[in-house]
Amino acid sequence: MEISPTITSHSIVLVVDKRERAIGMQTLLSKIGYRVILAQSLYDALKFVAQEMPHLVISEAVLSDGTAGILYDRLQQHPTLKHTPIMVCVLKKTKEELGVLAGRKIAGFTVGPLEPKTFVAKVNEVIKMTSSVSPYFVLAEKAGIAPELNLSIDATAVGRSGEQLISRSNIEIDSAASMLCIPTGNNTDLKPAVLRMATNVREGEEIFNLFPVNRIVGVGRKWVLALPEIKIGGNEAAKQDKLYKVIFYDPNEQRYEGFKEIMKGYQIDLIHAKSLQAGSAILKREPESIHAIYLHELMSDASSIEWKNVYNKLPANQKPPLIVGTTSLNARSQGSTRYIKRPFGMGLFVEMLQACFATSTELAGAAGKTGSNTITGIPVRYQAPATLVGLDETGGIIQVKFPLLKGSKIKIEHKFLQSLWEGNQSVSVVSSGATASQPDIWHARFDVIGPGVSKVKYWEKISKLLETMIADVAKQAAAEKAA
Amino acid sequence: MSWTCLIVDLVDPRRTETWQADVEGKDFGCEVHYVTSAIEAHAALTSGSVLVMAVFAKESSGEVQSLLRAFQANIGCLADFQAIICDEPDPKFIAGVFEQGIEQFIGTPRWATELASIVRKAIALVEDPSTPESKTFNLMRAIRASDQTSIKSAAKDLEEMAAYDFRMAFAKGKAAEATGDYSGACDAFASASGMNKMFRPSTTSLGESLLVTGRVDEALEVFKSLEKTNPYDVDRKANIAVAYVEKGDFAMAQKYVEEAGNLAPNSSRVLEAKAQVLLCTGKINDAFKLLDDMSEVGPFFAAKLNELGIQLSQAGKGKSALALYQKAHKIVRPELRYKISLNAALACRRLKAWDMAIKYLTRCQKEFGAPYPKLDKLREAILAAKATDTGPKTTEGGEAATDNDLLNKAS
Repeated sequence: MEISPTITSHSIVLVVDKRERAIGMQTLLSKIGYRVILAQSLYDALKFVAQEMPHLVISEAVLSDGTAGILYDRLQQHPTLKHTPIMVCVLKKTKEELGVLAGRKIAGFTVGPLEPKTFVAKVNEVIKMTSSVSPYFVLAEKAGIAPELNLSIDATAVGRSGEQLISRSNIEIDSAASMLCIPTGNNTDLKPAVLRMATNVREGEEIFNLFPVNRIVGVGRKWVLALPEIKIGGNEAAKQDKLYKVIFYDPNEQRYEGFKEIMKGYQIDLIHAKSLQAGSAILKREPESIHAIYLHELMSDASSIEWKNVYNKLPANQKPPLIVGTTSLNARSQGSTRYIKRPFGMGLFVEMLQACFATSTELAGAAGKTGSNTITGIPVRYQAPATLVGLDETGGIIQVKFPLLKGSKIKIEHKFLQSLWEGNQSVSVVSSGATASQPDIWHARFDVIGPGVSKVKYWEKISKLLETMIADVAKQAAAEKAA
Repeated sequence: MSWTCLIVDLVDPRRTETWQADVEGKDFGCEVHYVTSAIEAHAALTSGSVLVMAVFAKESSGEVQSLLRAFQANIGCLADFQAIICDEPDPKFIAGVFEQGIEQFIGTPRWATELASIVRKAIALVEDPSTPESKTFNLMRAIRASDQTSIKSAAKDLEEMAAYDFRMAFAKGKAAEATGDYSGACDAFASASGMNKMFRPSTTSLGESLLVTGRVDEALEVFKSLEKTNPYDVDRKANIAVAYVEKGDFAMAQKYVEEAGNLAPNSSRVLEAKAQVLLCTGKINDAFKLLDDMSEVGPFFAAKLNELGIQLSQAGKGKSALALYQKAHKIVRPELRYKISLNAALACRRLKAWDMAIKYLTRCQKEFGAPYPKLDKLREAILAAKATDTGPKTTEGGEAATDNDLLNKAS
């Protein structure tokens, strides 16, 4: 099964006696994204392997208190850790060093002094061959675990502002997500609705998810429309004639002219910035009158850095939301910067701009978090179907139809996992990425074990549960056969 | 059912040699059909197997608009099933396709991979009978086959969802339009438009239905509000022109016809508007000449043509009326043809061309696609008249009966 190549951060225990030799290797490995734990003796290596359950151990053949061979043999005696692949670095080809390799299933080795290119290539090759996800990773399908699950997020629908439903949750929702919003309070008359095209506004610890009412479908539209109107920007009537000012950076003047004419019809006044410098100048001059900013692209050149400096220096309450056009499929909106995938459709662009006009402070105040206003809102659960791809020593991987943002706390409803986690449903997303061949299929890696919990013990628990499950299935099959 | 993803390349004919390599190894889940002209694409769209259409185009053009309209008429107003492949579309282009509800653009570097994922999603949606997409697809099939029974059944199937899903409310409006219930269509389109103000096809259809039901001022207001957010839409300018014709303001009508003509001189909708101005200013022959270049004529102009045919027939110009009906039958949407066939039968009856009248009635019955008691009674009346060959019936006052009188008597 194809698994997104970008979501796993591999851990390596590097066992090298001499610190000066270890530094070079450690730097090389860290640079290409591996998490390296340095052990300077066999004793340390055994300790760290048991703690970390690394995806690879790289050890010099001969150590001050033993050899890589002893390390291998000791790990082989452990029912769980025996799966850890070991790569050996042979420095001088002495008899003692070469003896380590004999008769043991070593995953790979290098010979001679450190040669960066060869070393990195060998490590990548071994990782790819032995543990593209983790050496402990089991596919749900192969282990006989039902893959269907529901992921959910608790939130509170607090009101509407113009054409946006405003909801408060503890995570940012990606604009590509399509989720069922199920009221969870006592009122059973409130039915679900499908929410799409989220944008997020952050105010301190609070996160507001905004969903365009236009895109909401389902019986639940009824209660969404009945939510209290949150007045933002003062008198609504006065707002009817208001033109929202948006800095529009696009080097192509014709495109600006075209958009300006069309956007005027949506009460949006575009101010052209021919360059990023021009954009920063406008922003410096009149930040309080700008409601949003659109940048056709944001590279990593000098002018972009200058732009970022000006923008980031603005006080939070004067910082207009920023929309950045990108051709990347993986750029995810977060905080005040929102990405829009180019080329984009008109509705998407207009609604993204409109969502910018509800500012974070106004939202927080109006939604009853900062002032005397006490809108309690309707407790809801965002829900979406997902597939369990597999489990490993820290959590696992699920497959969804939209990206989940790193750091998101989600709930997973799945019978086997609930018994494994003793009723707990909350997990935290550590990474998410699209699969290489299907950009609409996303994989999210989640962690479930908290600090202080032993990975080995957790994994042993999974193994036992799986064994019991397999035995039960076998018993059932035998009984059926006998019958 | 075996589906097809239709790729229409209006940009680079050299891709004929490379597109297969681009799609190779991508999981489309269906057959991929590649064409380089709008004519081929139109033929494919009527084949019944196309589910997704992607168009390589650089700018807004009559060809692109006609393809999107053809998709809407044959497959349904399913914006997620269509995509434009283009790197940096200009705002007029983006706004132009947005008129048809299209918001899905794909950049050229990864077009095949992205399109494959759109196709897979579309297949999953249409194959699940509970989805709005599947219901829309079924309804459009019934409308294209102008099968009144199936239209009613498909419309009933989506009735409940129409209360909370703008796409279903829009489809309900289309069903009402296809069965001649323009007042019902107005309500459904207004509901769809209220639910999603950004979904322009429903607001446009609302304006068109208002025009058909004679609520010209309301229609004009709807069109003008849309015009504010996209002043480059040919069809809308044509609609505004027609609305002004109805109001009798020919100067304004002419202004909008010219504006529309400047944007797309060969557009069928512009020709409709021009013909309407000509008809209303008495230049009937000039209007007739324009009919040959029209296609997919909507309910409003179809009604005008029927009205004119009836006037000609009643004025004793039966042959001219039949010539008009013949032309009209070729250019109107399939679901509107039965009305023309019915009027042609009545014109034949007036001419005492009994056999021809029966032929038109048979065609009308086939096009209507459901039991139509009025037709049976009319057929009986014509056969009886043929047997005695007493000529057209007259009213008590001795004047020639109107078509409505004949229909009323028949029923």
